[in-house]
Amino acid sequence: MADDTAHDLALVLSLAEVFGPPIQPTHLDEVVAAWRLMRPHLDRVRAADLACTEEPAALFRP
Amino acid sequence: MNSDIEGLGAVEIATAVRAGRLSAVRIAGAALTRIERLNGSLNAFRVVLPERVLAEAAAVDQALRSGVDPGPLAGVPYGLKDLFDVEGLPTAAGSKIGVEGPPATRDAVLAARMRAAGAVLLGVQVMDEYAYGFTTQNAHFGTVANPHDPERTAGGSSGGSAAAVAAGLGALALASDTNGSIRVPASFCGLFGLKPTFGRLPRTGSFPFVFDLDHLGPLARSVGDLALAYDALQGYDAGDPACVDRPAEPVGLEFASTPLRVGVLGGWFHDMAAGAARDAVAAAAEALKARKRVELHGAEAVRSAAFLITAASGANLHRRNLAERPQDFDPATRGRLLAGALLPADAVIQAQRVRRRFYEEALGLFGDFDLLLAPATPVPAPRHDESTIELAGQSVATRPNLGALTQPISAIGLPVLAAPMQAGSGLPIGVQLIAPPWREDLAFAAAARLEAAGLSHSKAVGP
Repeated sequence: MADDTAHDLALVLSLAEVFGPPIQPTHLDEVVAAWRLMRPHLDRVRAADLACTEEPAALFRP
Repeated sequence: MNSDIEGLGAVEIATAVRAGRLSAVRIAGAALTRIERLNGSLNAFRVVLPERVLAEAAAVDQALRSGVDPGPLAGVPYGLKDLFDVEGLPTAAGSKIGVEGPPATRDAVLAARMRAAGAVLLGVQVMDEYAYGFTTQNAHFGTVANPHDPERTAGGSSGGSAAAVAAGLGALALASDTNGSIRVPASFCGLFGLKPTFGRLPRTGSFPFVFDLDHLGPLARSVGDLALAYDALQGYDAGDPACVDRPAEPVGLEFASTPLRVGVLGGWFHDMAAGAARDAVAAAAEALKARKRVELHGAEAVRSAAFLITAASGANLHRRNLAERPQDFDPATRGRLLAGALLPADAVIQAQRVRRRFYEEALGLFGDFDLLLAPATPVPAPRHDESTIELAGQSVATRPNLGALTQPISAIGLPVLAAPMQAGSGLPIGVQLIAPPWREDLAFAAAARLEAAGLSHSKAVGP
């Protein structure tokens, strides 16, 4: 739980850095909730066993 | 009295209008009457355009009287998801911010192609704000009801478009699919839906969500109707940098009967499907003589990659409004976009790498198979208040998981046709017919077989 709290605080600070004053406290709660949903996806992508020398996606570009 | 024409499909309407057996104005009038009767309870259309649709229908009738071919979609009434430009209307994309914007000065390219083919525009349809959702519960414009059961979601983000076609409020709709927004509502509303190959149909004049994941495509109640619309939409347009300059490849209305090698996707696509979805795949597999189950490794990871790319790109797209007027966003959208703005760049680049690896995995399977078969959604349409669903023995949040089976496929741009099947509960549920790049024709051929076998069918529901 302490880790969660520290992490949430870091999120709030990051958000303030990116967006500045108009962000409201209620929005911060939404961001924390959204981040918690996104976190497993972030971890899964980071855990992918792919070399950083592999080229990222380029699909069917003309 | 319009009961004889209200449920007609696009092929039937265009055939009758072109033969002079029905007037386009009468068809349009019947569609408007049905919208007036049902839209209050469904909330499928945000804006109805009676003057425009009647004028376009009158032009079709006049063309026929003058001996001019009005096009293959003559007199077919259709709707547009609320992210296509319509001349004279602001393109809201389901947002308060958008609806307060300036009106579009011309129709989106695909809307112009529909008009050139003789189709007539009924109006624009409710969607999740900025296409970021799978349930079409919109804080600004309300929740869309599923015509099969109004207590259940129509799916999203093209919920208004799917509900409209399922209820017979028009024969066709054009929608968008970034992570499943055509296929999820098609599954829940019992429709055929096409997400073509990435780069096939131009997005010029539509409001974006994620530039390298956005696809546009049609929704319909039959394979023939879907094909008629798809063929009218094809062709290069330089206004969309992702649109590939290749000739149109019409699928027509006569579908190939040659044997198809169909692989049934296991692993993630089996584990994340509840009983009804597995039953639908089994029935479709039997009809398509698909005996082999195959693994497409990395589906869970690429789904996560799609999550990150979507959140980061969406945040970038809406960066200024998030900073300047966050109070004007739907709260369900706002939190995810703000969180997306905080994603580290290295994770987003890695997500693109995951995506490329998965694409190569998928292409490898097409050496042995013409098509891959998978469920479109994990479950049939949940109730609006159903906050969790049971998947793989676990209770998981409903809204973020409805696209669990569609996201991996759109992430790599493959063409997919969602075909409706019946669940034991009586609710519809879709299967995905996944083809190699540029081979939409194979997906159409398989869907036509499911339809001919009586397994995959759809008709207008509602009084």
